Amino acid sequence: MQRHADRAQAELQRLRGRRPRRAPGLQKNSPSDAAEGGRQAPFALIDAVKGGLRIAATNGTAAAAGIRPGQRLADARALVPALEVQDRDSAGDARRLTRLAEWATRYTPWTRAEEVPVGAHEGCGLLLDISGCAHLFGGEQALLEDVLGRMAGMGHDARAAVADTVGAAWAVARYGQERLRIVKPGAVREAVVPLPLAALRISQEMADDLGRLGLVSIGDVLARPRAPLVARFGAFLGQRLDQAVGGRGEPVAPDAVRVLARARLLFGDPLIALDGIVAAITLAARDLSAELVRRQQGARRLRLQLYRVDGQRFVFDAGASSPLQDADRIAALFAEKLVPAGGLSGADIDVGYGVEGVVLEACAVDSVAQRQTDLTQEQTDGSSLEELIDRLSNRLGAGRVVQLTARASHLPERAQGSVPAVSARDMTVEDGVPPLVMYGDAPLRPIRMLTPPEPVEVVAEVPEGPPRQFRWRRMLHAVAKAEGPERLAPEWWLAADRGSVTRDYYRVEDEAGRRFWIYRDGLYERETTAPRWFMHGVFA
Amino acid sequence: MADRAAKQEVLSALRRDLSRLESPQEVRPALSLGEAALDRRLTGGRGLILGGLHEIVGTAYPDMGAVSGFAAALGARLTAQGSPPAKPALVWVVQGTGSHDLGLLYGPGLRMLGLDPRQLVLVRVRDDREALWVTEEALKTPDLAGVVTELGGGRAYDLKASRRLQLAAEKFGRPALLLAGHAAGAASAPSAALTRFRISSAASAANPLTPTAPGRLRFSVHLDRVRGGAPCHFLMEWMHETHRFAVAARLSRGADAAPRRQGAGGAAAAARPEAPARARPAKKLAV
Repeated sequence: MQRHADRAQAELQRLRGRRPRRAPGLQKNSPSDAAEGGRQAPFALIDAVKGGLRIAATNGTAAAAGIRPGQRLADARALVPALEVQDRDSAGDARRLTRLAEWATRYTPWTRAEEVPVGAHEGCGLLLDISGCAHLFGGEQALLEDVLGRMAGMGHDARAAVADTVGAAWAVARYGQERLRIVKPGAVREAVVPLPLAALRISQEMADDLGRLGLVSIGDVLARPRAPLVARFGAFLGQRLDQAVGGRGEPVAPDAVRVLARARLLFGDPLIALDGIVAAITLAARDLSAELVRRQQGARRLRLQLYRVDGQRFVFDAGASSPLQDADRIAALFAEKLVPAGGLSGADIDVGYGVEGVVLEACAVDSVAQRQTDLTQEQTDGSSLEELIDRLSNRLGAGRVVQLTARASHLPERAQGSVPAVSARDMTVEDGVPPLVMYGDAPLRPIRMLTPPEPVEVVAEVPEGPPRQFRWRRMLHAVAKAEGPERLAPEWWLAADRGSVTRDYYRVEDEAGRRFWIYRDGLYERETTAPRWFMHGVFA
Repeated sequence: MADRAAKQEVLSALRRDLSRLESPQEVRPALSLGEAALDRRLTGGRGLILGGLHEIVGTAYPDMGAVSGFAAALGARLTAQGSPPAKPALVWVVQGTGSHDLGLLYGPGLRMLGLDPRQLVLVRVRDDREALWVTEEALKTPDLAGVVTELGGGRAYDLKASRRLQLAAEKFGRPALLLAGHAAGAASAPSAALTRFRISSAASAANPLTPTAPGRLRFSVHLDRVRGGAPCHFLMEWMHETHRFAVAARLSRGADAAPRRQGAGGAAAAARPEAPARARPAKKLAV
């Protein structure tokens, strides 16, 4: 698709999230340490795989002693009896890799973490599609150096390569000579030809089988006619070859969120103060707003990402009930989440050593007609209630800012629902039937409803008559006025209502003038012999 | 007695004059309650000042239903302005705890009272601090009829908080109705609110159709605090067809309503001061 795609791949040779306590030498495993040599104890991580324990990764000292990933632990111990080992934490590695991939989205959203296969002994990596964004970082070379430098800062010994294809970048990063290599456009073939077959991303067995035919390097395989090879080893080999030397595309991040507009700010000096971060968000919002205005679009869903210096990433999502273009409103949505206002604590972000990047994205957009702004530049679009709803919804959660809706049910508890106000913008969610209250009568429905209804003890003159007095919440009420019953049958056509009984509702007023909605559950003698009573609501 | 009432009248007239002198040119927009006799007793003498904080408390716990109802009735009156497409909305801040554990607001019932649930935006909050924050934010919003806020009885609402809200309400010309619980303590707490309504349930009006059934809603309303006015007490009836309050009967006026209510507090319904006026023949009714 993108013929001149540059792909960068940084291989994390050894991922270590949380080992070092029992292996003091581990973190200092950089080339300079290797020069210091012998002071480091030989150390390796092991995998329990079928057939025994195998080495998964080693430090420099162990590697110098000839210990290789994939070796049986027993063989390694034979070489280096003093070898210290620990189980590999695959899940932890995967977690850490995912976090690194998130961190790497500061370069490009098209980023993928390569999963850690259990038992695999080569390193795992990140895949970045840097098409069209290398110049933002001063070119490919500068970008790669930046990646490696920052990773080293986090304690990772990484290698990186840029190439036209994913396959070539993968191969060169892992099996190339240099720590950092840029394969020139169109030079993919030359770059991969000398590399061993394992660089093709094929299984070790397949590489071994090919080796037995005398095919050792990728160049050997490429020189052979394709058809017999594929006939013997399957289409997979052909696919891998194509992916390495071009001719077959390979999506880098097929499941990345589709980002429709994006604004990014990276800082030389990390921001520590919350005010500074908010100011940065405002700047990014202006960029995004300009882009949206140019496209005549407004953002419906937005995502803010803050990149902390140590690779931690914070993500905030916000929604808007109407397409947003205005930079201040966009910024306000997020400032709301970050900055404590009115004594309320905002989102709990630990700035740590500072935030070095801000990325603001529009994940869903709607088109907006060009809006006429009047001469005073005042926004008089009457959207202020929407604005309030947006801000409250983003701060408190959309489920807590709601509007009541009417539903077609005669059962009181089903006659009302609620929807988030963000999505209920046009308030035509009513059945339209005006409630009928006779002149001089009191409302027929309570203003507050108890869910679920609460049991009450009732004394009635006759079992099927209205209550005389009742006890609710430990308080005795003598009934002065009562009206009823209003008979509401269960909705027998719903499975949930099988086994429910008819309710007789009474509006009652006690001697102090408090008005309640009480019902008797079950018709006396027809449905039950001992009807129970419930308090369902309170009138004004 | 009449002497005392006359004095009170003079005093409140003086207070009104004073407040007018303090801010000469302003005629603050106010919401008429629907009957001049009621409006006269409120700050400014023309009804409920829109740019202001108004507290609504219950006399005792069982009166909280009436408190909700009174607030809903005021809300109905507030939102009744405007033509259908652009009717102003009412933000109602609800809390699941505290004295408001009478259940969720119920749309069909509100509608029968006169408050259209389509004009309601409910905001569920966790505590009083959040409630106060939302209230202040909402007060800043144009095309909003007002804010009704249920407080859970925490310590967050104090004199300082009430000043903040009063200032915000004044600045943006939008009323904040604070449902501030029911404890006797709440009634004496210092506050910057313009008005404090203390609501008790009251027997409904006679139902012309079914004599044994409840009729029009009535609220026994003590105006415990009126800035620039004197405390007084009304029996108010809500006309849900026309969205207005009417005076059902004035039981007593002036400060002499205050000592009587102290004894009422509990559940003993018969001992309520606002039980039918006929029960106290010694009392002269001056209407």
